[in-house]
This record gives sequence, structure tokens and C-alpha cells, in this order.
Amino acid sequence: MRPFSVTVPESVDEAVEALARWGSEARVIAGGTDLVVELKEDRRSPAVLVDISRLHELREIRVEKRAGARGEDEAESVGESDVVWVGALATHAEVASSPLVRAAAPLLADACAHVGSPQIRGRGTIGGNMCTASPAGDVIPPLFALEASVDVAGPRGVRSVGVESFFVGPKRSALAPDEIVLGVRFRAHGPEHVSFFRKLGQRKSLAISVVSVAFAARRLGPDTFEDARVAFGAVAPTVVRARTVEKALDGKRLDAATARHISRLAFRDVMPITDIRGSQAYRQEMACNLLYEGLLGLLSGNAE
Amino acid sequence: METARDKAAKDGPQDEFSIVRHRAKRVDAVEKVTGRAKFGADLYFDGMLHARMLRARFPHARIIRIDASEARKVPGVVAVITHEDIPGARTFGPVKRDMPVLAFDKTRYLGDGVAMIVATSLEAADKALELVRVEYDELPAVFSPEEALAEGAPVLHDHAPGNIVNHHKVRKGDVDAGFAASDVVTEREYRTQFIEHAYIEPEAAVAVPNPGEGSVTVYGSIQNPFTARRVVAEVLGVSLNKVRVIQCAMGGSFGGKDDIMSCMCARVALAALKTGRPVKMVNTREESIVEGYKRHPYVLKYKVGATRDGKLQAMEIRILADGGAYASMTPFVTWRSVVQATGPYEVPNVKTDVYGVYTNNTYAGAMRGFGSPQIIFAHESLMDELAAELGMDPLDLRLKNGFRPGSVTATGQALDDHAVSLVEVMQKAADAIGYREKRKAYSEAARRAGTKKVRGVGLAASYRGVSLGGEGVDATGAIVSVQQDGSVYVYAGLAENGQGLRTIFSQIAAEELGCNLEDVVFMDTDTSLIPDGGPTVASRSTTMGGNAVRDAARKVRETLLAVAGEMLGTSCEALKASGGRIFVDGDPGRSLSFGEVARAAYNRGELMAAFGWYKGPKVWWDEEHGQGRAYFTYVYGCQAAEVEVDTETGKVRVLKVAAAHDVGRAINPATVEGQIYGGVAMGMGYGLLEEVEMARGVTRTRNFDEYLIATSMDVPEVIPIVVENPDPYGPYGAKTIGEPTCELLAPAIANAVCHATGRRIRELPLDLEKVLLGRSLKAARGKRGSEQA
Ligand SMILES: Cc1cc2nc3c(=O)[nH]c(=O)nc-3n(C[C@H](O)[C@H](O)[C@H](O)COP(=O)(O)OP(=O)(O)OC[C@H]3O[C@@H](n4cnc5c(N)ncnc54)[C@H](O)[C@@H]3O)c2cc1C
Repeated sequence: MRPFSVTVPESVDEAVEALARWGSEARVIAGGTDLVVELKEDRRSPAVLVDISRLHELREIRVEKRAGARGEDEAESVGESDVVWVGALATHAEVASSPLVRAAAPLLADACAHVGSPQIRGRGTIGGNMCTASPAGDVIPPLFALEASVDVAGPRGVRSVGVESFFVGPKRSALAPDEIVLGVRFRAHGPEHVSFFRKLGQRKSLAISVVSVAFAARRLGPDTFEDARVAFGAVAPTVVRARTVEKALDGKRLDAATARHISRLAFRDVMPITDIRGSQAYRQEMACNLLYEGLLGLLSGNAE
Repeated sequence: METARDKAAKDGPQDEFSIVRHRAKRVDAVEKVTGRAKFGADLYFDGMLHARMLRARFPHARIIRIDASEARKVPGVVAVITHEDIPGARTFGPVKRDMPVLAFDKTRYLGDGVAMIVATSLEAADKALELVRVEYDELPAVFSPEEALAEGAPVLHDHAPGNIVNHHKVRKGDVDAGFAASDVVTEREYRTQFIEHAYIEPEAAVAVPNPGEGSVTVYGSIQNPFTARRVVAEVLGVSLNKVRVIQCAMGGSFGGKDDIMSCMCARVALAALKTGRPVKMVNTREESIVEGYKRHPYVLKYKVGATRDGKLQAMEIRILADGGAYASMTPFVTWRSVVQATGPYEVPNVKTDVYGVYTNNTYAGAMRGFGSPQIIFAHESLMDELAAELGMDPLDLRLKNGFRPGSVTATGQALDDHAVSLVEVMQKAADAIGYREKRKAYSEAARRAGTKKVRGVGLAASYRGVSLGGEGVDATGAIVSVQQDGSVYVYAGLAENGQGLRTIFSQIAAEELGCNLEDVVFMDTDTSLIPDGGPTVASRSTTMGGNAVRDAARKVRETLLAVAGEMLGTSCEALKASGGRIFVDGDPGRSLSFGEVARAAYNRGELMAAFGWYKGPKVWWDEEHGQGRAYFTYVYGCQAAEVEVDTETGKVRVLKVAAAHDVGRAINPATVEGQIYGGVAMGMGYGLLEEVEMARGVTRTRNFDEYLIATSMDVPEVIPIVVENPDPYGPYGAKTIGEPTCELLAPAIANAVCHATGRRIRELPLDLEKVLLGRSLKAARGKRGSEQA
């Protein structure tokens, strides 16, 4: 690890200023669970760390825009199509236990609950997970399935980026060096929504995903869904949407056999690599199987 | 011959013990939990320097030139030390003195140290590391035993032209006749992987120069202080009494802090004498994994013959062990393998050959199990495979052939002077897991198609020689010293490695003296205070060291009882000592406190300290014929596992483990159970998760993000079953528990997975891909780097 200095901005503007001033010499640090590893291994050697932990507003999880008028007493509840905002500094533990997220986007809460270990969930943030932009980042597939957008602040002000355009390659995001992520926003799920997040790792805890899948859709009937969004992690250079699968699912009545058949279409949507955690062939197979397992769990009379 | 039971009877009934056999709290629990225990890396001395190693660039290369001139110019660098600075021996090794302290002629694996930077700060040392210029002549290398044994293969060591470290054999009867008499003959090949000890504390040592010429004190995370002392003295070229080695609190070892720590101690000692200042070295986790020796990968070919009714007739076994770059403990590890290779079964005809082989991989050495986990994976998988061929239940096949009192082992040793409890442990483990019912129920369930999650049960059994056996001298000592206030010091030649030895030795001393456990303090092992009692290995400490502590404590007790007898006006035979009091047996009113007696003895000028020594019973080994009384006693164990396999993903969940182990007698049932829990977790990692991957000599799994050990979430419910058949030799009948606990679970899991899925996996670990697709992930990635599938 090379020596570095730390600056602790008190506002988003100060943070952006610091980044602009130091350019590529600077690096944002949130929970540090990814960055400190990189520093230790000399994969990054910034001269300045911009510690954003005092930007308390980025820790918030809230309903940002109400879809309909409701009384004061319902302020804490969330309704369908309300827009939910989760700050970049919210930790995995906070997101996993947030009643708001559990109600509006249970798949995101689930994904956060399956990150690392209690220690990592207590420090690691969803902003950090996104900015690391690993294809195996567990927060990302749910954000794809939620069609979230990312709020980014820079010297030119705040912009909003669709989550799919935010991730441009393995460990590469659309973030400019002088920008920071403020948070993500997405539409809340209502009672007719179904969703799941599943992750396969070698062990039960502290397991980087070999494959992960997030699914969200609207239930039309007991075994029919529309508006399906399926996203896979760790099977392509970035998290990917499985559009072939989504199309095939649309409005189709599912039973175990059709669910199996449609899941296998995922072969067309993923292009995994072989690395230390899994071979290409295995990952392809698992993408299909994880999706199949998840779909099966949604079918009537088939709850696991 | 006195039987175990006679001896136990003489030792008195169990409830006569007041401290031994009780679940005493670990005496070092508070200092560990509160963080006050001092580990090697915690030590600081005034003026202390930091040392860092430059390691080899090629797994096999000739060193042409080392130029450290630029490195020496870095501000803060005090010395750059190479082999040229070594005054004494340049190589060391427990059996074959083939390992360089600092590489001089060649590098043979990537962990070899080539130059050592000694600087006032780690930063300066790191900067200098990049400036050392080493000119190499890269040599062709070998990365598997098969490659190493091929004709014309590159040679690592001049003394071993065929790259063979050693060849051990066992010969009994006539295998050809045995196979001819067999109705079924089964041949199988099994493979195991490199395993990392994964102790929580990486290696650390500090050397402090003493005022005397050439004298040094070394502190560190050292498994075997006496071994380290010998290596340091030899490398410095000084006599043993110039080197003092003091063991710090240890953050685990599992056999892994032996050679590597001897080497690190020698390096820091060299640096300390060269600079005249204290020098500290601490490995990073990555360095620890790259440099540290591993559990050997084995390739095991087994051929077994049996009659139709399941009676074993013959076994022929050929094993290649990847010893890596240096011999280290390979000759001893493979010796245990050759002795125990047929498992705990009566086999009339045996031919076993085990070869230790040099390769340019990281060297392999001692690790918990020591040559047993590999062969048990093979013979216990084989027993299930044979049972399948015979149409027998695997447990029945084991019961039919398993050792019983008086059985003769493959090496010709009659098991006639201890309780042979194999059948007992197998039955207890099987009952606890519900083996018979589940074996039947799950097979039927599996026949119903369409189930995504399938369950199975399996078990594995072993016998294991206690202590060093034919490896070498087996003796050790202890000192028990009572102070005038009745408090007690215990010193021992065997060292606390985190396994709980302080507690066990303190319990034994307190039991014998009759004082309270809280009055005993166990001192860190210091080579200047106690004679060399051999290494803390081979699960020998409780058996061997426990006897020595007991011997010492009994001698002191005699003195104290004599004094107490005079004070109470009775003969010392009429006295008992227990619970901090010495009293007239049957008349507890007439008593003195332990402290009162100690003070009186002190005032009378009595010697209140004693030296205890224990020399193990005789063993012998005929290397030529592969026969002998290999170990003086054996332990028996059986672990049974219930698993659930997800047929969609290949994920194996271990639901429950029953572990039955005969320990002779549990000095402390809580620490015995602790050993079982830990051993099961390690065995589970061996079976399902762990593998140090090496690609052309390069370690790919360098930290715990990629080298996966079982977490607390993965470890299943464990049912520890402590079986007690007191042994004639151990203290209070105690034998061994450390190693047997981690050698059984991998094959039990493999057998359970096969029961669940019908798929037999013959290569460890049973990771997701192997269970689902039946092939190794490594194969897909190119095992040897180049041959991409
Ligand atoms: C033991 C361990 C286990 C893990 N397990 C998992 C797991 O199971 N699943 C998983 O997905 N991840 C896992 N991780 C990775 C990591 O914990 C997560 O990705 C975590 O969410 C990162 O968040 P952080 O706040 O710690 O990020 P940091 O390390 O602080 O930052 C990560 C990167 O993002 C940048 N950054 C952070 N916040 C912002 C921001 N607001 N704006 C701009 N840039 C920013 C930093 O500059 C840095 O490049 C694990 C890590 C460890 C060490």
C-alpha cells in the first residue's frame, strides 16, 4: 500500500470539487470493503482518498415521489409506482432490513442480505457495489430488474443515468473520474408484482456469486406473468438482461415443463467466461437452472 | 501383560478425579478473548528493524548473480542479506537437509527466498525489494509427480536424480495368490489436492541479539521451538546454547509452523546478528500461502480383491505423493501413509508402495492428519465401491473385515495390548446418524424420479497410530515447580499450539498435586529452561507430555505429603490431596491447605520442584520388508455424514455429522469436543471446498477470497461421541484426538453424495462442478495452464 492523504468533504459539492481538483490522483472511499483490498494489493494507488462518509443525506432510504394522494399517517408506507430512492451510502445491512425496501423491492433487500458476511454488510454500501461494477456484484441484477436509474453528481451538475447504461464493462462504469453516485431510484412494486433474487456460491456465507439472477414481473393469473425482467450476474462482462427469456415469458401460462423450456433460452442471453469460480459451461447451465428454480417457486401449488 | 482395563482399575474409578475428566475452562481463554495475548507480530523492541523477503521469479532457475547495490542505497535500508552472509549451514531440513535458508545455486519453487532486505521501515524495505537485480537462467520444470518421474525429466536436486524423495513399502503375504482367491477384484484411482493450513495468524518472528558473542533470542509463532533452535544454531554456526527460542501465543498451526518457521527464525537471527539490532519479519497472507508448505496431493491407485461373501483377500496399492520442491516431512508423512494405507481392515495379502516425489510446486509437509486424510479418502471410498460391486451394505462390509482385538495389521503388528474399538465407534456413529434407516429410506426416495434435492448418508472409519511411531525417538519432559505459597509453575517441552495443551497439562498437574487449577500457571515454552522433548506433532502431546507432567507432579506430591504427614502426625500413605487441601483419607477434618503445606516444605528446605520424563514404549520398523510394530498404540474413529445434494446446481449441504472417536480417556471432555468440532469443519473443507490451485508452479489461490474454508454458516450440526477405553500407556488412559477428527469426513461425504446421486467422485474436493458435471473446474481452465479444454 502506498501512502495517501484523506479528505473528508462535508457536502456533495465539496466532494465533487475535491475530485475535480485532484483528478485521477483521487479516489472516493465509502465503506472501503472493495477499495482497501485494491489499495493493499497496489492495484490502485491514489494520492488522495475522498471519504464521503459524512454526506449523511446519501445514507437515506425514502419514498421520493408519491404516485397518488395519501394521508399523513401513510407517510411511512409505500404504494405501487411510488418512486423509491436509496442513497449510495446505504449499507447492505440497512437496505436488507429497511421495511420500505422490503415492501417496495424485496429482491433488492434479498440481494443485500446475501452479500458477504455481517461485517461486510455493515460497512459495504450499495454505491460502492455499483461503482466497483463487478459483473458478480449482487446489488446490480436487482437494479436491472427494477429498471432503476442512477443519480450522479459532477462539476456539471446532477444527471440521471439508466442502470443499463451505467455499466459499460467488467469493473467499468459510465462514471467520470470527477463524479460521484448519489443514489438510485426505481418504481415500487405493488401487490401484483412478483420477484426473486437467487445467487449460487460455493458456500453459504462470504461467497462471491458464481451466478446470480434477479427476476421481476407482474402477475396476470396464477401461472401467467407479463412485463418480466430477468437479469443475470457473473455470466457476461456486465450484468445482463435476458431479453429472449423475457419475451418468451410474456403472457405465457407456465408449468414446470414450459418453465424449464423458457429458462433454457437463457443460453442465448448469457456469455460467461471460465474463471477461478466457475467454468463457462457450468455457469451457462446454472443460469438456466437458477432461473428455473426461481420460476418454479412462483407457480401455483409449487411453492418450495 | 497388564491390560488396559487392569490399568484403568488401578488408576481408580473416574469419579475419583477432581480435575482431570472435568470440563475445565481453557486457562488461556480470557487473555485470548480480551486480545491481551501476545502473538509474534505484537512484539516490539527498541531499535527494531523490519525484514522483507525477495522471492524467486521462476519456479526452477539457476541463480547467476544477485546485485543489491541499488537496493542498499535506499534510505532506511540497513542491510541486504543473501546466502553469502550465512556463516554456518546454508541448508536445513528435518530429514534431508535440502532446503536453502536463502537460495544460492537454484530456485526450486516460487516461495524460495533469494534476498532479505532489512530496513528501518517496511516502506523502505518494500522499495528496496524492487531494486534487487537477480540474474537467472530459467530451467525446465516439473509440476506433477507423473511429470517428475517421466524419463528425461528435469532434475531438481543432484542427490535425487530420479526426483524421488523416498519410497516406502509394505509387503505381507502374496497378493497374486490373494487376487486369485478373490471372486471380485476392483481397481480404482483417487486423487487429492494441495491443502493450506489456513491458520488465522500468518508467520511472524523477531530475533534479538544478546550481549554474548553470536548469541540470539528468537520469539515467534513457532510450533516446535527445539527444531527452530537447532536450525538457527546450525545456520549461524553456533552451539545450541547460544540460541534461545521462546514461543509466543500461537494463532494456529495445524502442523504448518514447523519448517517455514525454522527458516524464518534463521533468517531474522542472521539479520539480527549482522545488524546488531532486533529484527522482525511478518508474512502477509499472500506470502504465507505462497511460501508455506501444504498437505500433499496424492494420486492413489488401489486394487482390492474379496470373496463373494465380502471377505477381503488382497490389496495392492501404489501412491505418488507430490512433495514439491523440498523433502521436508515427506518421508515421514508417506511413512504413516504406507503403514495405514489398507485402513482398519484385516487383509491377509498386501503390497503397498508409496513414493514421495520432488516437483517445482510449493513443497508439502506436515499438516494435521499427516499422510492419513489422503489414504482414508481412497480406502474408504473403495470400501463403498467394493460393497456396491458385492451388493453389500458398506457398513456390513466394514464390520465383516474391521479390526477386532488381536487382529494383525498390514505391517504384521498384533493389536493385542489395547482396546480395539473399531466396531464400537462404527456402530455408535452409525446409530447416531440413523444410518441403517436412512440408507434404506433415501435409496427408495431416490428411485422416485423428479426430486430436485436428494439425500444420502455415508460413513468412513480409520485407525491411527499414536505419536511418532517408527519415525524416531519418542520422549519428552516437564517441570513442575511449587512455590512457597502453593502456586505452581508447569514447564513442558511440548508447546501450546492453540490446541489447549496449557489447559490439559495444568489439569494433570493440579490433579496429581491436589491443588486447584487456578493455582497452576503454564509457562510459554523456552528452550533455555527445559530439555528438548521433541516436536509438538503427531497428536502426541497429551499422551507423551501428559505422562511427563504426571511424573513430575507425582514426585513433588511425595515431598509435600511427607511434610503434611509430619504436620498431621500420620503416615503419608494415609493422606489424600485434592481440591486445594491435603487431608487424612476418611477423616477430612484433619487437613491442611495446599498453601500451608507448601510454606512448611519451603521452610524446611525441601525441594519442591521435579523433573518428569516419559519415554514412549518400544516400536520397530523393518524398512526392507515393510513390516513392524509401527506404533505403540492406536485410536479408532468413525464419522458418518448426512448430506443433501441439489441436483440443479451440484451444491452439497452437509446436514449432520456424527463423529465417534475413542480417545482412551478424555482429560477434558470440552476440549475433546472442541477438537472434534474443529476437525469436522476442516474435514468438511477438505471434502467440499478447499484447494490450493497451482498452475505451473504459480499459486492462484493466495487469499481467503479464493481459497475457501468452511464458514460457521456451512458447518453442520455435529454430534460428538467420545468413546473411552483407557489405554495402558497414556496418562489416565488418554490417547489422541487432534488429528483423527479431520481425516474422516471427506470420504464420508463422498460416500453420502454417491448414495444420494449414484455418482462416485474420486477426486477432492467435491465442488459444485464435480458434483453436477462430474468433472473438475480446473480441467475446464487448463490444469497445466496451457492445455485449455
Ligand atoms: C470479504 C468480502 C466479501 C464480499 N462479498 C460480497 C458479496 O457477496 N457480494 C458482492 O456483491 N460484493 C461483495 N464484496 C464486495 C464489496 O463488499 C461490495 O461491493 C460493497 O458493496 C462495496 O461497497 P463499499 O462501500 O465498501 O465500497 P468502497 O470499497 O468504499 O468503494 C468501491 C469502489 O466504488 C467507488 N465508490 C464508492 N462509493 C462511491 C460513490 N458514492 N460514488 C462514486 N464512487 C464510489 C470507490 O472509489 C471504489 O472504487 C465483498 C467484499 C469483501 C471484502
